[in-house]
Amino acid sequence: MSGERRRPPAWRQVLALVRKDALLELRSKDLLASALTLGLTCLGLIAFCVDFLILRFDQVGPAVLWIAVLFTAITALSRTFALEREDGCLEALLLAPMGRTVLFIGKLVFNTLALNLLGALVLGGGVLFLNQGPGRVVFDGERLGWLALVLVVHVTGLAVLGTLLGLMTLRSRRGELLLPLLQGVLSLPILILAVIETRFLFASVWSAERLGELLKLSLAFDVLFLTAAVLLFPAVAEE
Amino acid sequence: MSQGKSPMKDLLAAVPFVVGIVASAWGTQLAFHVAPIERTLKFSQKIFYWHAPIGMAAIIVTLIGAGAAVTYLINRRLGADRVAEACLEVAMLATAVSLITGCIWAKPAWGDYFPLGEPRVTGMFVLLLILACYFAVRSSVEEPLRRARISGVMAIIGAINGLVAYFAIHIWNTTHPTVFTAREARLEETMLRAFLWCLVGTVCLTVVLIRQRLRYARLRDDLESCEQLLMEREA
Repeated sequence: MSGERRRPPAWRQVLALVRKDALLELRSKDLLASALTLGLTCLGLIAFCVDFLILRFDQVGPAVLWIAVLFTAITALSRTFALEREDGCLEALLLAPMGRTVLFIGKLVFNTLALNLLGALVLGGGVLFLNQGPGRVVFDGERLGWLALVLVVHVTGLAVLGTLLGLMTLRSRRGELLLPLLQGVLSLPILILAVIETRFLFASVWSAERLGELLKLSLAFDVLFLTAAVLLFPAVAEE
Repeated sequence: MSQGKSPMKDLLAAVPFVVGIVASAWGTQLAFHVAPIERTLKFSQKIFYWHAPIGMAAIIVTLIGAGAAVTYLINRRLGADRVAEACLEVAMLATAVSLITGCIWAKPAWGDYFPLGEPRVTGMFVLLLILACYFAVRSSVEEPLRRARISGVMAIIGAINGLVAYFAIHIWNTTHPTVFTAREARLEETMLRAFLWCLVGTVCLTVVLIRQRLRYARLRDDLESCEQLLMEREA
């Protein structure tokens, strides 16, 4: 029909969704207040409970830092989906004239950006404050670059998984309890890979080639999860 | 009209149960009285005749369950969802039993009941947690069609996750004994015979359990639809 308005391209729809979530966050500061506080609390607890003057940071550090990142990610995801639940926002989004995949990608992009930012703050803070004692890791530009890459690859994996699980549990009974449980369990393999790679990076002798190979494996899993999530999301959002 | 089954069908249904019991009993007898005592692990190795078949059953039944979930999402028939539910419940039981028998064996072999960081132990533990999550998701949705859809998605994500866990933990070096490789079985002939009987027994008993679980699911769904009809009529 000539009077029909043309739909904007998919990337603009995705951008609009990301903008909506970013605006909500900028106004409420919910993620910063809840998730980052929890992440920093985890770091504080680790600092009190683990004596890095006795235990080596290069061996114990990766595990405790990634547990702090995981807790931060779980809290952040619970918060972003709680907002959708509270105001019946998802119903409105499902009624909007856009594809289900666009909706999923929009949520995913925002979650990936938010989790990467939070993860960088928690992991960076941990490295800054806890890196001491006999296992102190000396960071040069190359090591920092690889650490950033390890963070981005694994946090993106957590975001893909979390976005699908969040949308899946949104309208379930006890959904707000179910999401942290599912995210915690299903993140285990990604977390194991993240800890292995970070520990390898923190070791006194490491090679960029071997780390690159390990990272390729993690990246392959990210792609696998992303493909599965994009294919499965229409079944989740079907009403 | 009567819905009773024919005696022939009943007899056929009992076959896996009888074969399972007989094969298991015969396999156990062979394991304890015919197969020799293993040189390094001594008597504790006897648990292998049950531990390995149950572990294999857990993984195979999980894969069948995930396959049924995919089938449901493609053809949307509730029967496939019931198969997925039955398989994954039996898989959860088998995973738990394989972990328990593994722990019993690990104490004399490795010195600890739960060797932390051992890849296959960690893998089975992760699988058990994923299967528990599947049932947590199932119980959180009441509407049958939505429950089937969401739990189908969960089963697929869980299966992919199990795959990731398998690769992630195999980056570490394993100390778990490898008895079967793609080319050979590193077992003495009498040991292999005992193992195969136990394997047949486990497979048959697993089939029996899945069938029973399926029957229960079918009856439960029938009851639910009857209740629904009654409520509609009252309204």
